[in-house]
Amino acid sequence: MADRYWVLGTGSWSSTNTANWSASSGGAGGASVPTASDNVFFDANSNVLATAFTVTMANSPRVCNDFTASGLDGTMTLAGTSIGLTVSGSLTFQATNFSATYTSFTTFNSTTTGKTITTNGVTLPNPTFNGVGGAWALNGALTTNNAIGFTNGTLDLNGNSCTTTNRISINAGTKNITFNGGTLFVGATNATAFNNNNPTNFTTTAGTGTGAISMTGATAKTFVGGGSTFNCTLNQGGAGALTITGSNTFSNITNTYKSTGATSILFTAGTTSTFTDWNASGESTRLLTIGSVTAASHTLSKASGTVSSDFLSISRSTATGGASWYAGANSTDGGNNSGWIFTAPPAPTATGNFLMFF
Amino acid sequence: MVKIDFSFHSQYGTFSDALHLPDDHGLTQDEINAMQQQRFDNWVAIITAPPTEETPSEEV
Repeated sequence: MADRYWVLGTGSWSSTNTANWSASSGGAGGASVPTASDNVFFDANSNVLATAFTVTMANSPRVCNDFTASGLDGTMTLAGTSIGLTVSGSLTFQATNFSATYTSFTTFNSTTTGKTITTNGVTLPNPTFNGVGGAWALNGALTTNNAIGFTNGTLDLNGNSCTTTNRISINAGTKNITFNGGTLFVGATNATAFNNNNPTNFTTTAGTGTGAISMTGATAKTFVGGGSTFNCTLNQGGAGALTITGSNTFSNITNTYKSTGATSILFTAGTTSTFTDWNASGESTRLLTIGSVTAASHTLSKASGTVSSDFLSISRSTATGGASWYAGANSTDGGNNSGWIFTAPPAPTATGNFLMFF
Repeated sequence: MVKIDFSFHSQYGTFSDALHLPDDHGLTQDEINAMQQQRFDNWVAIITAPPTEETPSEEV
């Protein structure tokens, strides 16, 4: 493993150009092109004086172990047309003076744990996680305008937000999303916004705190659950109707969009969705519609306790499992329902032991 | 390096991020608050922007 420092400003990060690589910060060029086991650094000595510069990746995806852009005193653009970056270690972007504009994948392929991703508010192109046994922890929010692919390894949100304005693709492999209180925001508005079309060996881990997947799309979007267990909250976070396919298990379901407007959560007819908690409600004048995608019923199951919801418009919904499903006094029975109680839940009664002395 | 975690609640859910600052950053609390607000504003701008075209590429 060696360290490689970029020098002399604008240049090509290709498989053959050694002029821009040095063995030390600000040292002479001519060091070998980094391999997947080498750490690369872009710093205050990477440019000429404090001028802006562009590092253009060329040939096959450029590789490195750790990627660190830190201390830059001129604006650096990491570019590449249909060329991506494969990082075998950790990645750190600088909050200012840095942008990544390359138009292919940022692949994290470590096969060991303990790697970190620190983007410092810089948008990351096309992140994909594909390292058998690898694990990456976010060291701050991650935001991308491209799809996020999960193939192999564990992404630990580590309490942070991971946001795509595009979609989530769960691919064939052994993959895990650990939340530790973080939230995965999905902005796509299509039939595969969250696409768990490879549920085998896909797991989620709650960790510490309450994690969530928030579907923020402003028009219709689909959560393809694949029949998996999601140890997190599924949140309706946008105006577009949220369709859920598959018989999935969720820790909770919520609707934060209720503070803004009416919206819908639709289940696929014939499926059973299981919840540990149900906290999806609407608000006055902003009803949450619970229904099926087609003219047949779906089933909602909760093993015990009381569902206390309100401002719902419910149709074709079978509520079961052992819990008491109170839709609330302000909810609407749209027909073809079973198990829902269209009143407020009984007022809590005092519990405990009282000794009365007269 | 100092790591400062922060969160903002929104209609889309809770946005959580962290600032990484040099030990001797010298920023005031107001300046740090402004940086955090900027991160949140940037995030809101991104997630409320019209959906982008998907990259035509291999399955991800």
